[in-house]
Amino acid sequence: MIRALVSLDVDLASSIALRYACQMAKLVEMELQPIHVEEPGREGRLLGTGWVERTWERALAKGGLEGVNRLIATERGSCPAIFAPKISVGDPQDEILRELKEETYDLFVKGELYTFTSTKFHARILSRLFRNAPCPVMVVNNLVPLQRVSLLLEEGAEIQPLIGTFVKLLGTADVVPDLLYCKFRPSRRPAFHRAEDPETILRAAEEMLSRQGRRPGKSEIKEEDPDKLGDLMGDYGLVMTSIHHDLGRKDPMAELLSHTPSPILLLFQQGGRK
Amino acid sequence: MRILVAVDRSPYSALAVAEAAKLAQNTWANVTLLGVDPERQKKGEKSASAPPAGDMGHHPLMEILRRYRETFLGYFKGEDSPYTGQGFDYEVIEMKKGVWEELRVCRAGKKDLRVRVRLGNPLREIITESVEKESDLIVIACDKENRCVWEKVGNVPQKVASDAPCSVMVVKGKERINQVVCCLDHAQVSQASLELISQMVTLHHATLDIVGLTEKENLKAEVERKMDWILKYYEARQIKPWIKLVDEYSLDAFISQKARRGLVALWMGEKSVLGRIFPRSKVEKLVKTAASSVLILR
Repeated sequence: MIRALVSLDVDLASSIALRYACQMAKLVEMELQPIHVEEPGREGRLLGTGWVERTWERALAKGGLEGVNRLIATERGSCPAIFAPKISVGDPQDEILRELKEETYDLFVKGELYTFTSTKFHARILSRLFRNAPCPVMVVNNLVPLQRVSLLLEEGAEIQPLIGTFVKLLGTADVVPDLLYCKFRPSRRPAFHRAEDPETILRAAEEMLSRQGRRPGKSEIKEEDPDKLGDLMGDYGLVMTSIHHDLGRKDPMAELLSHTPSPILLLFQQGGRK
Repeated sequence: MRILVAVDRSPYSALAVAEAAKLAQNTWANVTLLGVDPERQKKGEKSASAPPAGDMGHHPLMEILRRYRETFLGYFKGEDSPYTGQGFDYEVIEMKKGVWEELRVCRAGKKDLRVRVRLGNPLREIITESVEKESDLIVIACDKENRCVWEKVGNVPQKVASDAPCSVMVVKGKERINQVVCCLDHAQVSQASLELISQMVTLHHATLDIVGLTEKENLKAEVERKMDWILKYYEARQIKPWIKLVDEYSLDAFISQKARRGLVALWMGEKSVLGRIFPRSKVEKLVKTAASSVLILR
């Protein structure tokens, strides 16, 4: 049973994320735990202390709960996997991180609308919440059928956790995984001294999948500009990749992901590049 | 739905007729094929001098329009055509209470297909016809290789796109439309324009992008609600749109990029900010420079 924490606000991005998560819950055994965090205000200060603070917090939480319940109510009929929402007041990143660390989740789901300019996307994937999440993070930007999954590999990226996560989350689902090794053009990275041959990496990934009883639909090297590769990802219902904590804004993988209109599943590698 | 197809004597106008016929196959629209002849307008005259009625039957534009009518009807098969009249036949009709008479009558088609010629300034005549006939959509084609002009009279398609009171589709080629990109910055979207987009996506088996226009990366709450509503509207019709956000400062770049590959549709409502950041001159520029067809939704 997969346990997913789904961050909800009363907006379009959350509506899309919830419906996408429900679609996934029809493919695999899954529990969806919605969470909504009411921000106390820009200053981050509550208007008082003691019972005033608690009363105000309760009022804020109640307001948020009503909105989120309306959102959930529209989906619950077709999606029994949704649990009653958890509501808290505070900094959304802190509260969600606390929940992710206190409970055991296999996945964190967040709605984020696709933007033509990549600034907002970069800010999101480089956020404290995403980088410190103890589980894979799924950024849902569009509601697309989950039939084909792209597993993106690149030089220096860890394969084992990526394949392992695919098998854990979607191993029993009727979806086709494609293995795509990205060779970015123009190459802006210094060559790694002991860089492995892409073909070798693809064969290793294929073997890992086959040991789990899965075979890739495609196993290919894609050599293209990051933005063009991002556009190609529109053919997939989910794009999965493993990225580094030190990922910079100008990293070609970050660029590719910012141009990807499909939902993205991110695994943050703990170490630096190999 | 009422479609006005504006044509001149040049071969590219056949593209407009074909596009309108495909749309009419799905919508059973009332269609007017309008030919505009600017040549008879003399200098200093506000309107063109009318030739004798007998001459108009042999007018070259009328000949072309007759061919276009046949082309249009060729998209409809026999009895399935809503435009084909049923011919003369005897029919018993009650003339007054208790009195019947068998009359020889001719039933028209279920929908109108009119062929018209107007003489005079093409832009003015097309706009006037669209107002008089309360058209929902004007379909017009242009010379893609020559900055989307009409032969001899210049930038008529661009002016029609920017000035018409209804939606306008400027057809620029035979290439299949594989992506329809609709830009939205306001919550007043007409049902007719939603349906038109639905038809375009279905006809061309194209993907659909619904683009929300943001200001300083913020999407207005009412636009966001409308996008949610539009998303569900199309999903209910088995169309899965992609949702995208574009900030107003990068809209120009976005549209130039998309106009290379798909049909760009702009929802230009009365309260549209698109009218401010994408003013008339830019609509004309888009029509002139886009590699693919353009749809202005009103």
